Amino acid sequence: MRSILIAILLLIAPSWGTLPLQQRIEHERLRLKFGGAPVTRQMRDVMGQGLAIGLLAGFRGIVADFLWIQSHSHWERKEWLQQYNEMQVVTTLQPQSVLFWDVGAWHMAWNIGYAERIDTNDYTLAQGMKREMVWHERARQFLLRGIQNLPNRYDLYFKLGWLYDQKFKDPCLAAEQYGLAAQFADAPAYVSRMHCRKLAECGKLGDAYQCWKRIWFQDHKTVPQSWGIVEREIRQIENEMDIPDSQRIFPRQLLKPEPTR
Amino acid sequence: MTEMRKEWVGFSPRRIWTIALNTLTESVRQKVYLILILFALVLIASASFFSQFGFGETGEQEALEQLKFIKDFCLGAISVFGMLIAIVGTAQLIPNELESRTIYTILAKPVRRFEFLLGKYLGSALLVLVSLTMMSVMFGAALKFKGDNYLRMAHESVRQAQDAGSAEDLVRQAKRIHAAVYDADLVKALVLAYMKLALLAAITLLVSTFSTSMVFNVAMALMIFFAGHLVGAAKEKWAESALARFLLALIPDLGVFNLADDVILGSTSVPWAYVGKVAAYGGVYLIAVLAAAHFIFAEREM
Repeated sequence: MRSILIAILLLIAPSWGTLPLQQRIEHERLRLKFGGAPVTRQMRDVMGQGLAIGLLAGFRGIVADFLWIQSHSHWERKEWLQQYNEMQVVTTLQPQSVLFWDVGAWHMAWNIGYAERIDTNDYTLAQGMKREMVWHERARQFLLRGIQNLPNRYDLYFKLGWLYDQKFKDPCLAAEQYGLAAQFADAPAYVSRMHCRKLAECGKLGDAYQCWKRIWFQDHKTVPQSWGIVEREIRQIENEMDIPDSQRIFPRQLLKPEPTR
Repeated sequence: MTEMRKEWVGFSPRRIWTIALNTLTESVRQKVYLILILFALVLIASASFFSQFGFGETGEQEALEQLKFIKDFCLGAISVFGMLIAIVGTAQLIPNELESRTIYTILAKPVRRFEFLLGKYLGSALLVLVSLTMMSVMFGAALKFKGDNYLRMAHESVRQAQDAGSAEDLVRQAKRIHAAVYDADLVKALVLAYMKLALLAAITLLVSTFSTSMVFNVAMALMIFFAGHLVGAAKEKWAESALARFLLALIPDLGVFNLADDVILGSTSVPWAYVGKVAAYGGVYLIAVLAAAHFIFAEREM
């Protein structure tokens, strides 16, 4: 009996003894955003008992992958809401995955949205278009949640900009998001070009011109960029704004007189 | 107590090492182990043949998605089979020795119970280490095989790029794929996975010091494994209850050793300092569990 008591004390001791260490680990996990949300009743209903057990055993990644693959089966069977619910659970399980947010929003706005629009068996075209817009909004909300979880990655800002651009047809909101994405050092070169372009489409020609100038005055040798496209856009905007030759990056070339015969 | 003090006199690392190697050899020869490790290796190798689980919009997304699935699947398999090997490999050690009565011969020689227990544990920990190394090598090969295919395709696209801008974007995509394949943080995840399994083996050994049935040992260890993953959530939920805090203190929080998911997502690099802290936490528990096992085993009637 005595040895059992000693054994119990020995087992409890590290829990109390390592309390400061445990707190530091917990603090670090929070700082590094490790783990995901705890399992709720609602999540368990969506994923089922078997997967919930897998989750409790620490297989969060596998459970999320399985649900992700399953959500695509729902898509094939046109079970949009089930797919939507599973995507919500997947992103709750692994909120730090750019892929899940990115591909999930793309499914909602492009694939499901389009499928709803052309589904004339159940709805009229007008109803279909209205339902498509609902999915665009769902994709937008989904990406906004993604950005809340991953504010330090350019990807989701860019995807939100792309959504505003392609589906909401709002160049001003798109420009804003592209601008945020372009601030990240790892953002591809085309993001900053798209930012400038959408500023021009939004009617902010002055801002767009400044934006193109910022790109142009980067070091052409070290910064990989499609300089030909940048030049073409600058020439175009300088013409549109009718900027005097002295202030242009590319002054208008004087037309040579036609040689007389 | 005097008897226990005597246990420490004349303590021999050589005897412990001999018992450990003997335990390892015996375990490796067991059919259960061979089946488990073979099945694990086949399962991990098969991950490189996954080809239809990428649903991304672009080639890069599809590649990253595919690599994520492979890593999740392989590390999951390593975790499951590692757990089974740790539990089954350790749960039978003392019951088998008692059943075959070899324990009496060993303890009749100048081998202390503590040395016997530590030797058995080290043998089991070595078995887990050998298994984990084999599974990790197979995982690395599967990941490299699949990843290199994607990298070849990415480099081909770079070669065919129209201008500097698109080439730069393709190079960036190739770099992201490369980073996903050759991710040094995976080693950190495997280090902590080993720590967890070593702790689990020690807990199983502790259970087997007061039980005679192997089935009971396995069932108990499995329950502790599941409970260990719920400790973190339970602590948050029952922070106010003193009884719950007392009971939860008996089980280490195994959830903190799970680094694989976060490493695979790669949203932040995992600092070695974090790995060190978790390893220190595991180390303290490991020593305490082995000490508790010793106290029970030292007074056990045989």
